[in-house]
Amino acid sequence: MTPQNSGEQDVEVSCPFCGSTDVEKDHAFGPEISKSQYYCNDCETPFERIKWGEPDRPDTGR
Amino acid sequence: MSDDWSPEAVDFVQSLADTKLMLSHWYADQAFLGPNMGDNIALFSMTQDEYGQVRQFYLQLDRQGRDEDWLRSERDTGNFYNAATTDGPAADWTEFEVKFGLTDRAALLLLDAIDHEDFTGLTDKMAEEEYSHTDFHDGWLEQLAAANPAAFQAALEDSLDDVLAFIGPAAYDEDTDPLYASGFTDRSVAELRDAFLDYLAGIVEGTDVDVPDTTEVPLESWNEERRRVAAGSIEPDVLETIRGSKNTEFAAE
Amino acid sequence: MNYEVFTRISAGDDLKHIGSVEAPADKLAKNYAKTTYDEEDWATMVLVRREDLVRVDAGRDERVEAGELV
Repeated sequence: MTPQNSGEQDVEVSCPFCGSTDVEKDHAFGPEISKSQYYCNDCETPFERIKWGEPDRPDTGR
Repeated sequence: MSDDWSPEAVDFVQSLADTKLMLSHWYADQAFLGPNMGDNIALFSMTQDEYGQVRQFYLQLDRQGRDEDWLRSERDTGNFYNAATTDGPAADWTEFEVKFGLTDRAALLLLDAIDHEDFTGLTDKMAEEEYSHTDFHDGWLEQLAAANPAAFQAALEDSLDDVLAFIGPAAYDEDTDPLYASGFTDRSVAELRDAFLDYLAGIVEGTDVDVPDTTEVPLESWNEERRRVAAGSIEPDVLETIRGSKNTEFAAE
Repeated sequence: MNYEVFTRISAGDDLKHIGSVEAPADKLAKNYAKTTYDEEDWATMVLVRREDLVRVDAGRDERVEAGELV
């Protein structure tokens, strides 16, 4: 595979549980190739993140 | 964590969690059956997403006094507040997409409407995961409505009232919806039903499928806890699967 | 329908064939391609219906046979 480029690091990642940005990436690949595995050092919780850029949200008709 | 949830809010979150538990179950049930390998990959992924969301909701419910052990392994089928569309499996792929795809969409509208500090970050994370679900289901729903309009129409007529009952009664507008009135949600049931029907009209637009007339849910016959009008529940064998009863001897204490 | 998946990692790179997906319609093909091949921050990912590939080393209108690119 082609080496990963640096795009993944461009967006600041925050924890979905406590909002902290004191997080680190544990694994480049999560349960799916489009997700990475992170760990929050503040609330000590692992979480996944969709890798590239700012992820989309579905249109809920708001 | 806060202690200002109303009893209606606790029921609402349990209904959302139980519906997602059943979606996870039926996605897993289908995940080796295609139609294509891409669908299997999507179904396994959606199974995990839904189950992870259920876990988060159960943690929240436990803090509100709805015991996690009871939620996970001690209650009977009648105490599952899942949407009526998720009581049983689908007979075929068109019915699968219509009843589970539309229920997934309705659940997204409900969780997106939660406006409470305990869910800050959480519902946004769930919406991020749900993007792939809506992309997948919308692709299939549009395809099936165009390719098999008669089967789609029949499945829609079977499911639509149950999906709408899960969203709630149309009579709950901004003045009468207790969750909206207490500030737990920021969109009334009436608004969410309209948003759902607008979405559905977009799915079948340009096909031979018509959105059936909806039956008004009379407030007095709507079950507030189980978010349905219909009787019925999941079957005992499904309950056994969900609980993992056969393998309790190996479960961690 | 079969679709061939082409990507480039950075603007200016060559577009490379990285795989294929089978789907009943374009929207689902895009969903499958994203789920299966989104391991990189691709600058471009495009799909081409296999039936639209035009062979240039034989008769002008001869389509590429299914499976040749897999």
